[in-house]
Amino acid sequence: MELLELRRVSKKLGNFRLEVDCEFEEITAVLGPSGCGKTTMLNIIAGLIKQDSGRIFLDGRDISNLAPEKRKIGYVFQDYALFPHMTVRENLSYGGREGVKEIAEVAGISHLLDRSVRLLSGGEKQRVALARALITEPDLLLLDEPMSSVDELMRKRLIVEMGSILKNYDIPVVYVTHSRREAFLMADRIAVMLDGKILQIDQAEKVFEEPSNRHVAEFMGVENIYDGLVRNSGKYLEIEWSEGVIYSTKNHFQKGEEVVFCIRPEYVMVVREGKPLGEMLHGNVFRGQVVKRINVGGMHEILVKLESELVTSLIPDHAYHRLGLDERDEVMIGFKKNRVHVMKK
Amino acid sequence: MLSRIAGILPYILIVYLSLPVISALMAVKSISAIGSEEMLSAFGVSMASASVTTVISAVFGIPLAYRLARNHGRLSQVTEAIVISPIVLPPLVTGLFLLSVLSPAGFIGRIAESAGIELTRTFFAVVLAQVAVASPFTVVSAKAAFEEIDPKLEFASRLMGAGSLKTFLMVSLPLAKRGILAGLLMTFVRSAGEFGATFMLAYFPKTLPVYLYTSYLRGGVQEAAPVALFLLLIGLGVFAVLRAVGGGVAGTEKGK
Repeated sequence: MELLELRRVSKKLGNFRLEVDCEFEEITAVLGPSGCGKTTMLNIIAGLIKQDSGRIFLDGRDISNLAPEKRKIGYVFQDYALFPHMTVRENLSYGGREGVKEIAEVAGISHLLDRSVRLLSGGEKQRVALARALITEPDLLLLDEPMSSVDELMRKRLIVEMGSILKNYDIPVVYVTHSRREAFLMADRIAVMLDGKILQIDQAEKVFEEPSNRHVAEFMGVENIYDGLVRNSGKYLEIEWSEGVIYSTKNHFQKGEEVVFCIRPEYVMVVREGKPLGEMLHGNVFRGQVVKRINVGGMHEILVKLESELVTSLIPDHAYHRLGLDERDEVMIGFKKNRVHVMKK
Repeated sequence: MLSRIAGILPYILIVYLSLPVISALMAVKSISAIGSEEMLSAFGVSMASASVTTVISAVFGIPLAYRLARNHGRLSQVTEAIVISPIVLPPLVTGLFLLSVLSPAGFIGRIAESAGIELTRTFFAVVLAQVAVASPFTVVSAKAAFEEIDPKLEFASRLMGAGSLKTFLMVSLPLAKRGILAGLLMTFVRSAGEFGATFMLAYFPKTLPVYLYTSYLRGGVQEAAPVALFLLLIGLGVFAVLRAVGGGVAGTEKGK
């Protein structure tokens, strides 16, 4: 498996500063809000923008100063950038490329070869763009928001299809998107990018379950994020916060350390009064009042106000109906100790 | 009442603008003047010089337009201002400036003269005058056409393995062709009709507009009308071609 390495790559554009030092392998989704520098990073990797400093290695080969045409990189642009004055076949064979028939078959566009690209649908264009990027037999594939011009209903299917095509290519893929859903559907690994920096790059589940800091947690949709102070570190980590003491199994922190902890809404339990608590909930239960209920399609978001903090709990439909919760009801909520994720402040 | 007046305003302009065409047709009493040898010679000079000017504008102007479209630095802005200046300057002024450097008394003219080249009162001088006045139209129109092209298309070409020259020839040029063609036609028609700068720099050999002027001095409108009609026909011909090409001055193929 080839590897893309960015070593202390930096680029200043007005007030914006990009600084990246990391490695990309397998299929990595670069996830970040628009304007965070994702496209700029791709353009630097492809050689379309020159970095101010730093080096880029592709499978050990230093490509930092190579012209784009010498880098052996395939790039699926946002809006695809197909040559509008050419047919699909001409787009693929551009520059005298061989193997149009084979790649068209792989991408499922054999029937489109003699069409003008102007007449293609969003999904068709995307497949042509992917085929055009792959026909050069690149050492690396870059995709910039490839689903942005495809309608919502087609997206999932296209992502799955694209994934199965890419499985046949043993090259690193960098897939830029602002959608968590797309990132999880597509990628083995996720890099979270905010404000010109990659804050975390890990296996997809790890980024989801164990964000490296508050910003990543926020971006990954963890709504319950709080400041705390480590009071003791034994079997469990004891964290003091505005609601009292909370326990976590993540006990690799020092006494006196200031930390941030978070828990995903789906791991916040609504506990029924008098019901015996398991080991993981024991001591981690707090009393509050329901301030809002939102139906989010099969699941229910319950906003609970504790003494001063707001906590969001996400519970499935059947549990919601069994509990029969109403706004202004008093409830007990529990945080599972092994789900309370703790981060450095 | 007011709205009725406002409704008439466009027609007044249309009538006024069509007067030259109508009057030119009415003023031509004898078609025979059109065939005079002097006039045919002037027509030949105009067509030849306008063609050469157009080729020169293409060869030098299109690469310049591309640079201006892709670079937005301070230097690029200054260059653009210089390039556009002949469009806003009266051609007589441009001609005067040209004369001051290209005549045998001028800086460049002196060097040329010592090499045995005369830069005024020759066919070459006609072309020099026309290039100065008319080539900016090619640059401005081609630049607008290049700016319309999505830079990602050029990136895509580079990543497909094409170098920058090949990318220019295979992607940028074909996509900008309408705008470039429109610019070249403007350059051609401006050159064919150019009077001010040509008059200053190259009274001989006579181009059609200079011949028109001398005809007028000799015999008034009566004498000049056939020549004017000729120039009008050239202009209308180019206009027809422009319409057929289907673009406005900045017409171009969309980059998407």
